[in-house]
Formats: sequence, structure tokens, C-alpha cells
Amino acid sequence: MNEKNWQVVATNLLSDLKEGEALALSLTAEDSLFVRMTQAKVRQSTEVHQGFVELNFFKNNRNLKITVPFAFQQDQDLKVCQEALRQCREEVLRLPQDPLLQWPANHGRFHQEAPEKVGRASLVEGCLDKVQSTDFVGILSAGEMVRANLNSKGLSQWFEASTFLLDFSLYAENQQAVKGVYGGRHWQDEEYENIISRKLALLDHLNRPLMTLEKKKYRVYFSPFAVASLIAALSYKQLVSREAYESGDCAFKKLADGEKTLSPLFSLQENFASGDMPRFNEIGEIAPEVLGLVERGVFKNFLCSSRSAKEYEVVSNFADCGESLRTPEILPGHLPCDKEMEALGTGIYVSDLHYINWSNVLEGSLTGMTRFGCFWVENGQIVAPVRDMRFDESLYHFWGQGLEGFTHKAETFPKTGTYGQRDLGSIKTPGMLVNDFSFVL
Amino acid sequence: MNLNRLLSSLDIKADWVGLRAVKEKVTTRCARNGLFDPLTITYDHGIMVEVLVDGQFAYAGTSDLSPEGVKKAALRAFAQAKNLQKFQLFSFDDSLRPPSKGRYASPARFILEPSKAHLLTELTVDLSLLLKGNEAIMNTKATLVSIEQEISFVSSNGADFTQIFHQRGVDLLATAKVGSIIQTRTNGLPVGQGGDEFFEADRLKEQARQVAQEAIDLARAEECPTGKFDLLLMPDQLYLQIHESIGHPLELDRILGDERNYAGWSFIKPEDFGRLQYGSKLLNVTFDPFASGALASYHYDDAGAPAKREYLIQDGILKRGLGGLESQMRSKIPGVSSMRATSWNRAPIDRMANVNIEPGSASLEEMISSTGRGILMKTNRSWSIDDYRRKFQFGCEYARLIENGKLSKIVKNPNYRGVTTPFWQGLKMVGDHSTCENFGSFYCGKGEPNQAIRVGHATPACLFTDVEIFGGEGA
Repeated sequence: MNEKNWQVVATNLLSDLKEGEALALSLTAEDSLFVRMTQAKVRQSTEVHQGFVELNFFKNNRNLKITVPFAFQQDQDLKVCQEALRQCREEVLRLPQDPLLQWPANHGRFHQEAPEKVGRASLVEGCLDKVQSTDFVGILSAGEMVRANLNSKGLSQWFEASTFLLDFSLYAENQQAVKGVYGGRHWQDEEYENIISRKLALLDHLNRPLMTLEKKKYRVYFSPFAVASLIAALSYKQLVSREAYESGDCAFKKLADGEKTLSPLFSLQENFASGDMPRFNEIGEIAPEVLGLVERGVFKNFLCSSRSAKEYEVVSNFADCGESLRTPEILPGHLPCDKEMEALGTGIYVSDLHYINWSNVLEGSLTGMTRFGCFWVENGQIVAPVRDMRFDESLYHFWGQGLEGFTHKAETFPKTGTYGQRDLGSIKTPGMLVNDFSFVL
Repeated sequence: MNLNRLLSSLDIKADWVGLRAVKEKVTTRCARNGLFDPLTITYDHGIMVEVLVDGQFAYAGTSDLSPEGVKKAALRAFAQAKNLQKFQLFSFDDSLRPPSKGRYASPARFILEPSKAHLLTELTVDLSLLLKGNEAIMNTKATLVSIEQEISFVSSNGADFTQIFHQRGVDLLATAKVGSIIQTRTNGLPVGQGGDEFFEADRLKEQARQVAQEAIDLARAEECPTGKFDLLLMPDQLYLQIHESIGHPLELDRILGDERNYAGWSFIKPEDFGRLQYGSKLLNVTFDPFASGALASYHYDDAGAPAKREYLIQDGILKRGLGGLESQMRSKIPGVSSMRATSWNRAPIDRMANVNIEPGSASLEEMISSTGRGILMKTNRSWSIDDYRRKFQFGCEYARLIENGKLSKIVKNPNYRGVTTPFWQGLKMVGDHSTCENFGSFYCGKGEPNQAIRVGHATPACLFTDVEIFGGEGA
């Protein structure tokens, strides 16, 4: 995936523009290996070489977006893009004017290359050789990812990453499991073996008869991974989007309107400091490196795209068009790490959460399931693994009055989604201790 | 592009080679509060090369459609198949890639030519304005989705088939505010195969008026009560109940454990087939690839297996899984033609397609009049289920109480929860053809790497006994 190929095709298109026309080009591309594994064996392996370029075309206060494949093959790409530009010109005449248009602008240059390509040749062996005696299930992804923007106002941005990511579980004979994630730029055998050893030790605790708990409120410790699962599920529009707020479909609406409060122990922000996610959005606007959304329980900002800013006459903070959380972080607290069982005392230790969905958005109510390594703990000691349970609880409780605290160290979890393409970015979360958390089934 | 010529040009020493080309155009028209969002058209075109080497399948997909690009993909797939022999899970053979020949095309009455497509843009804006017809409506959205997709498959053992899909969906949304109460109502996002007859203006305008009125009715309504009630589910909620608590648990690759790291496992064991009383004797569920107008009708799956209508559950007994030839061979459980991929850039895995409840004999009036204390729920709003597909919870947009055999007041924020087999065993009446509707989803997510597939669910209304119900105040 050659930046020069991209530049040649894009420059050619931009030089074709006629008077009164403007064009912004946004590229998403990857060259990836995916290996799907079960029972410590390979179920399927797939390599994918793909790219898509969005032509965002403007004329006479009208705008449309056409996305076409981009193969980094100059002749093929130029032909496809020129045909798309021709179609843009034809279609735009039939559209109504758009008072919320975001004309292309030069928001600032950005250039980040991957220092080297991640080595793929021995990844599968490195992964599976160490787990042959286990029931290991997971997905290994590796390769290069690109995001880029160019437009008729001289904007030029290129972000490239080359990483691997292993998202896996280890299963005990009683069908209980522990989850793990290992990712980065360089596979380190020793680092991986340490992760596997720690997970196998935790799996030992799970390989015991399960306890069934009655449905009621409990004191609960959520591991950093469980909190990350929560944030990942809430990352889409309905948590903290300006458009969702204005449309009456936003979980933080009552917080923003002063009708409800959150704990001063809770702070949520977007933080791009890790560099694993470009700060620019689809139209090249560069977000602040850190943007506070909730600070010590007080509402600060919605994620607001420039289109929403124009529509609702507020200030943009250069969110992406979906106004979703791209690189969220919950700030750590004061609970000592490695003493979470002691802090919990008697209650439930939750390693992970599954299938979280809103049950009542405006009340901030969520439902979901426990999954992967949850334990009943008494006086700081693991007693037994517990059968999975359904919760239904409001964030105004677990980030509100019910919140006892966060651990003093947060962990960073790379995003593992691969719908359409590999996700960039990460989620940074500490562990969380909550009182009176409702389990309903 | 001649796929057979491309195939012949590949010079690799595999036991079998297949090429699957996918071409697609998705047009999304969306208007909010009378303002048209930028028209969005997405084209995709790529080829997935599959090879079989010494029992190991491997895949490489590319958007480089030149002979050199496809050859490069083939070499990558071949190298993967060789390198991963050491970790082979199962030794497959080319009987799992039948040499099917033929063609399928979605029935479509008409597709607007490009010079007339602006009529759909105007309709989208009109609908969003119609939804906003009352001052109590604070937000509206109308979305029209049009999909044209062509999948062609050729293989070294003689497969050569092409399938052309025309798919449509309409989403109408209105949010009402009465005092401090906010409620949203939609038309349930009906989807299906067909042409632009799907966007029949008069019908959609009538739907828009109804959606707007019902949003206001909901904002004025009481909360749904809490307790155990008989539950009458309408098709625009029941389709998702089918999807989550019948479709997914029956997927053979889940039963085999392949999805345990992401989508989950299943409570179903191989020995349950032919024996497990999944639901009451009234429950009959089919895999129907020929259902007219359904979103996921086709003639072949992405491995080339010819599609055939089959009972998955008959008279309440679990009969057959949702799994293609590979999973059928591994598990020795009967399946269906359902190995599918979202596009050229993903390998096919076991998916649902059209999974339907067969109609029964009760009219809607009979189901209502036979209910002393119940609730009728419409239109899904929220869904969640555990990773074994047992403990679920659903929320709907709209409900009405049933009291002494009659529909009474509207209630808001209706939710219910339960456990899969006891729930289906509580099925006590199944609606007749007059209650049947086609729904489905463009976005059923599963698999590693992740992929979203299109599914269809035709269902009548159904009545369930003694279900745990609760409202917005929780339970």
C-alpha cells in the first residue's frame, strides 16, 4: 500500500475539477492476515488486500459521497475514480441544496508512517505452539492499516500502522473460560508465554463446580477488561453524541440537562495520546489530543461533528461523522491494584461482559450478561465460579451513587473489531467497584 | 472480467481452486427533519480466491482485479494452506464444494433508471416532513436503502453460478415529546428482496402518519406494568426473537465451538437433534431459501451447495442445524445450504438466511379474545442474550394491554425477559397467514474476523404464556 500510488491518483482527480467544484478524498485500506483458531488448531485463514476511497463531492451547495474500491493499482484505480467523479457530476444536479454543507478545508497536515512491517511469517506458530495442550480459541489479525485524506484545498494526511492482535479465550472442561488479548508491533515469545501462564492460573479457579446466585443486588468488582467491554458497547451514538442529545435519544441527556448526577469519582475523556489512532476524522479535522466529556461527575462536552455544530449552532470538537467514541479513557481512581479481591470483600468478581444493549436509553439503563471468568468472592477469597447472570442497571447508579471507586491504574486494550476492516485505536480503563448492582436473571 | 478465464490462468498446484467475485452498490438516502443528508453511494468489487491443499482450505481476497492481482492472491492462499498444515483442524475434500451451475435473480417489478432516481430523494424528504406533522414531534428521520449485488462463483471442479440480488429497506422514525416525556416510534425497518416497488409512496406515507401518531400516543401513555403476563408478539418483534433464540443457537459452527471467543457457543448439544423438545408442538420453524420477497432468498450458498427448504424444528422437536457442508461433515449433524460470507473479503461461515415460523390457524382476534390478562408488543427496540443463547431480554417500542379478551390501553417502554426453551415451550397459539409479515436484518453480526450478513424472517403473530414483563421503571 504505497502512499505514492494514492497521491498520484488523488492528484490526478483533483486536477480534473472544474470551476465551482470541490472534492475531498478519504482512504481506508489494509493488507491483513486473519487466522481463526479453535481447539488450538486453525479453522480458517484469510488474507485480505483491500482499500476504499470516498469521493466527497461539492457543487452549487450540494453534496454527495461515492465510495469506490482502491487497489493501489494506478491504472485500475484511476479508471474507477474517474468514473465515480463523472457520476458525482451527474447525480449532484438532482439533489436538493444542503444548508449544513461542510466545504473542504485545509485542517492541517498529518503524516505518520509505520516504522516497519509486522512480521507475519511465524505468528501462527508462535501463538499455537505454546497452547497445544489447551482448548484455545481465538483470532489472530496482523498487517498494515492506512487512513488518509486529500482535498481540493490542499489538505494532506496519512496515517499508517502495522500491528498484530491476538484476541483469545482458554476453556476449561466445565465450559468456563478466561479471555485474553495480546497485541503490538513485535511479537515477543516471553511476553506471550507470561500472558498465557497468568490466564491458565486463573482458569484453574474456574475448573470447579459452578455456583448459581439468586437474582438481586450485589457488590461487584469489574475488571479493567469488563469496564472496557462496557465502554466499547456504549461507544456509539447514544451515549455522548450531540445529534443524539438534540434528537432526544441520548443517555447523558439527563446529566447534561442537570436532571441527574454522576459520582465525582467518574471522569470520561477522549485521549489520542497513545498514537494508535489518527487524530483526524473523515474530513481531515484534527481533534484535540484530550477532550473531557465528563469530569469528576460533571458533564463537560458532547462529541460534536462540524455538521452537528452547524445544525444546532454550537461549537464543533471535530468528532467523526458518527459522533462515536474513538479512543475513550476512564480516569483511574484510588483503589490499590492487585488488592481488588480484598477491596471487594464479599461479592462478585466480573471479568467480562457480553451483549450489552440499552434497555432504556434516557434512563441510562443497560442490560447484558456476565461472561468469561466470574467468581463469587467471600472476605477477599475466591470461593467458586458463578453461572452467567443477566444484569439490568443504570449508569446513573453504577457511575453514580453506587460507584465506590476505580483502581489507581488503568489498562489499555486495543480495539478488536473487524467489521469491514480492522479497527484502530484502544480503550483505556481501570477496574471498578460498585455497590448494589442489579442482577435480574 | 471473465472469471473462468482468470481461473484457467492460475497456475498453482492446489487440489481445488475457487474464485468468488462480488460486486455491490448500496445507495442510502436519509432525511432528518426535512433536510436531506448527503446522498451516499458505496460500490464494492473484489475477488476471493479459495484453495484446497492436502485437506486444508485457505483464502485470499483482493480488490486488485487484474490477472496479476488475482494470481498474487492465489499464491498467498496456497502458501497459507501449506504453512498451516501443521495445525490442521480437519481434513476436508472438494465434495464440500459442489460443482453447481445456474443463475438466480431477485424478483423485481421495476428498478428506477438513474434519471428518475431523484424521485426517491424527494420521497425521502417528503416522508421526513410528514413524520414531523405535529408540534409534539421533536425529531424525524426517513431512510431508504437500495442494494444491488452480484455474486459469481467458478471452481476447478466445474462450479459456475451467478446470483443477482436486489434488496431494499425503509426506516421511518419519529420522536415525540409531551411535557418531559420522550418516546420514539419507528416502522420496524421492513426489508426484503425486490425492486423499487418496495418504495411505494402512498403506503409509506400512510406508515409515516401512523408512526408519528403512535410516537405521540406513547409519550402520553402509562408505563408498561411489571409481572407475569401472556405475551402476544407481533412479527416486527417476533422476527428478532426467532433470530436470537432459534437461529443463532442452531448454527453448527457455534455448536462445534468455533465461535466461542466472540459470538459464543450454544446450549444445544449434537445429541439434541431429533430429540430436544425445543418448543411446544405448535412450533414449526423452517429454513426457506425460496420465500418470496424475503431478504435472504437464494439458490446456492457461497460454497456452491444448492439451497433447499428444510424443517429446523417440527412439531416442537429440533430436527436440523443451520450449517453448511463443512460443519455437517465435522459434526455429522444434518444442516442446510448456509455457508455465507458478507462479501468477497471474508471467508464463508455458517449463517442464517431465511429462518421462518410456519403459520398456524389462529386469527389475531382469536389470540386476543382468548387472553384474560396479557400484553401485545410491537416493534423491537432493544435485544440482548447470553453467549449460550439461553437468557434473553428484549425491549419493544409499543404495547397494548389485553384485558378480558380485549385490547385496552397503550403502554410505553415494554420489555420482557426469559430463557429460550421454556419460552418456546410456552407457545400456546400461532397466528394464521393473515397475521404473517416478512422482516429481517441487514446487519446480523458474527464471525472472526467479524462479518455482517443479511437475514430474513417471516413469521405470524404468536401468543406465549406466562412471560416476565417489565416497564421503564425496571424490574
